[in-house]
Amino acid sequence: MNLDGALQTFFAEADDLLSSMEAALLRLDEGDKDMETINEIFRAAHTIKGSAGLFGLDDIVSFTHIVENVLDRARDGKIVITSDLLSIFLPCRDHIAVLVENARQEQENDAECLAQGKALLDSLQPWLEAVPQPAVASVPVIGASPKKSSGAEANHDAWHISVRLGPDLLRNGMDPLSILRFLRTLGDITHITTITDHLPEYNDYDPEQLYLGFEITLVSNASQQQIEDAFMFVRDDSDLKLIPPRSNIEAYVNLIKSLPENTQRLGEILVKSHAISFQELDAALATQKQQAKTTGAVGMLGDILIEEQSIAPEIVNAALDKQKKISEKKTSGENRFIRVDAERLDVLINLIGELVINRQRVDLLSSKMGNPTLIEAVTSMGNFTEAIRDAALTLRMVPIGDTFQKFKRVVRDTAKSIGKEIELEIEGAETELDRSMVEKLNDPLMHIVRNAMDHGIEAIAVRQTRGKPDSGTIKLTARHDAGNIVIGIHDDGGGLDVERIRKKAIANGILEEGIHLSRQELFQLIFHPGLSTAEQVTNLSGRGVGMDVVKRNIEELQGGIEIESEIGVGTSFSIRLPLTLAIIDGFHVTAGHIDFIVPQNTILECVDLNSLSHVQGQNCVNLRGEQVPYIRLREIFSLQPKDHSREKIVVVQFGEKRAGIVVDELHGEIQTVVKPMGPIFQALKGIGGSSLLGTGAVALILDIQQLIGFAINREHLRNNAFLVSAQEQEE
Amino acid sequence: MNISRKKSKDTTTLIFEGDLTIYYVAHIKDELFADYEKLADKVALDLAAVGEIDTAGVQLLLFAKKFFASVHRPLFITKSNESVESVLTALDVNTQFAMES
Repeated sequence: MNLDGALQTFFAEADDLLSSMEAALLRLDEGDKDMETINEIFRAAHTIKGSAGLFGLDDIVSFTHIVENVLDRARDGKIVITSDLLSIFLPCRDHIAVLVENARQEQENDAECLAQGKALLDSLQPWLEAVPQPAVASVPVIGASPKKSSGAEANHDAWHISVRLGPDLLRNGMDPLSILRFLRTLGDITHITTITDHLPEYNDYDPEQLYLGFEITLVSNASQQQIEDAFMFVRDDSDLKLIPPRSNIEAYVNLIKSLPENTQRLGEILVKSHAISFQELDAALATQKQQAKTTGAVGMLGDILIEEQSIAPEIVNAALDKQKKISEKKTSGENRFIRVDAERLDVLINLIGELVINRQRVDLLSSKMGNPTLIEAVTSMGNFTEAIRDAALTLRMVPIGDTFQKFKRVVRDTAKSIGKEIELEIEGAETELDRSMVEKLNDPLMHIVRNAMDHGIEAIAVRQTRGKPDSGTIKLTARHDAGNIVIGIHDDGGGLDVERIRKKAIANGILEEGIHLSRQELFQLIFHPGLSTAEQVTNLSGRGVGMDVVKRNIEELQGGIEIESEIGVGTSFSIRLPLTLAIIDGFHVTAGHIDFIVPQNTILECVDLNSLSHVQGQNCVNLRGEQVPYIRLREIFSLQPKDHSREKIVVVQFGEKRAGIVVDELHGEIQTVVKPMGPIFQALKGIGGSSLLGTGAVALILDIQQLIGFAINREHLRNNAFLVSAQEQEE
Repeated sequence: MNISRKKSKDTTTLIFEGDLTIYYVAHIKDELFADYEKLADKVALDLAAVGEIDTAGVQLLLFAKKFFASVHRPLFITKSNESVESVLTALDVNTQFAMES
């Protein structure tokens, strides 16, 4: 087995476990009393510890072991998880994450890190104190159970033998049947179960290899030595466990836990380990059926057994625990998730990009040749190329929920540190978007959420005077909208004061006095570098750095951000992003002799420019009563005009804003593989990227958001200039 | 060891003749599962003519049970003999090959 690969799997699994652990801890913090939540945390810690042990990551093992002990006590109900304890558990989880990360980076855990771990463990001490309690003494021996039925007693005079034999046994000429025959000379085999769980799939099945295991009940007066001697010749490569007659519950618990099998039903496990008899199981099953009939609900078998006092709770818990793990394994098996290196996926997407380009080339050639059969074949191949593209892109899609989930912790910790009560609500966690975008979205989201907590949500006293609930709410939402994903961050805080933003902007020289801006434009000023309206600078935010970075980050993702806010009610940010940046449906146009691509999802309609009535003296057309500003690509990119071209206008929309883009020719829909612009061209306004056409020519992908902004601003300036000159004339 | 097939309505009966032991299991495996798609919906085993059977043989039967279940074909024993029966009972697997009612 490739140990390195296994180690990577461990890291990936540890990440998952740590995040589910965090989520569960936060649920407890929110008042979740479900035992299953504590179990989940325990299992996460337990699994991490176990796997870390396999790889000799001792620091992780020793630290997690203590945490697990405390969790175990909580699970047994010996201690109650208080908020004090939770505020230690969360940093403990973080510390495990640090240790895992260090292991991944192959870094030694430095003294500071170890000291931190030690401090955390010390703070867990109060919850650990009573641990070295002898477990054996506290569990009752089975025979002592008060309502024991007489039929069960015989079983407890029996040895329980659990054996998994070595795989080469048969080949070496040994037959387990002969061992059984020998055992029969020692006593009476009252029960045997042949374990077939390890039979492999067809291709892996070697008929000469032994895959079977046995659970045997042997009623015998023989000594342990005698029984072990039966396995003398096979012991070296076999796994043999013996439970003597009248053993206490712990032995059975240990056996259940140590059995490698995974399909045994709880009842069978119990019967096999003879903690209960068949009669008891039958009776319990009958009761279960009866209950199901009368109440309609199926009682847990374990509960019934405990009720009937036929079995100690410890054993049922161990068995239930095991069964749960089994069913978890089953479901995860059915889902059939495969972990794939993200890089491999990117390689695939790039190759499909090339395929799409080549397909366009073939398209072009086939239509040139005009062979109808060829064209038909190429068209149907094209359909598949499109389907492959779509399927490949969904591979990169991940639900945004994981990103949102991280904010639970951030909100919880921050709210505590600034003395506010804030709840985080999440909506649309299942909404998917490109993985590469999720990563880049983290920082901007974090900034907006922190701002909302710090400046948006008011202090409790203020909220009370405003008649709001003490606890503020921040809501993260996500939804799909016409090829875009719209992410919302809403808070029910104080809202943005438009007038204060205006004054501040004027004071900082960002805005000239007397210039009229729309509400939205005023809000947008908060993204201007060097403008912060917060009166109090805290360590969270309020230094006026950041919001401009937020906007830049979003724009880098070809997205836009809008703000809506009402004083005293709250603020909403909506971030609008394309679903993916890798391959888009484009619309091919030319202006001058240059090819351009307009992202299809931004296009509203294409019209002949001359068919529309123009607004006098402005670059504006009247589109069914609405004035739409436009720009000529030829003009803004200084291109040579083409002869005899009838200009067309492509009406595009981004968010709520519309504009027209005037081009010379429309060519039609085209699948566009987006190549980012090289660093030299990145400052270029109005161009978002480039793409290769089937002819091999380069087409520039228009940045619609910037162009719309440009068109609207220009009309705005022109209007202002027009007003100014009109005023001058009057004077 | 010889396996012959007999098809009737929805059941194919596989008739075993010879020893079902470690010495033959590899060969039997090949023969037993060859062209299994051609088998009917149900697969019956006739083990009456089996001579000796050991753990490897039993294991092969258990494996066959599992394999045919995975291709949605129930497998059961219609005929057997005393030696087969005693071994299957000794390992408490005889019920697994009972005909489904």
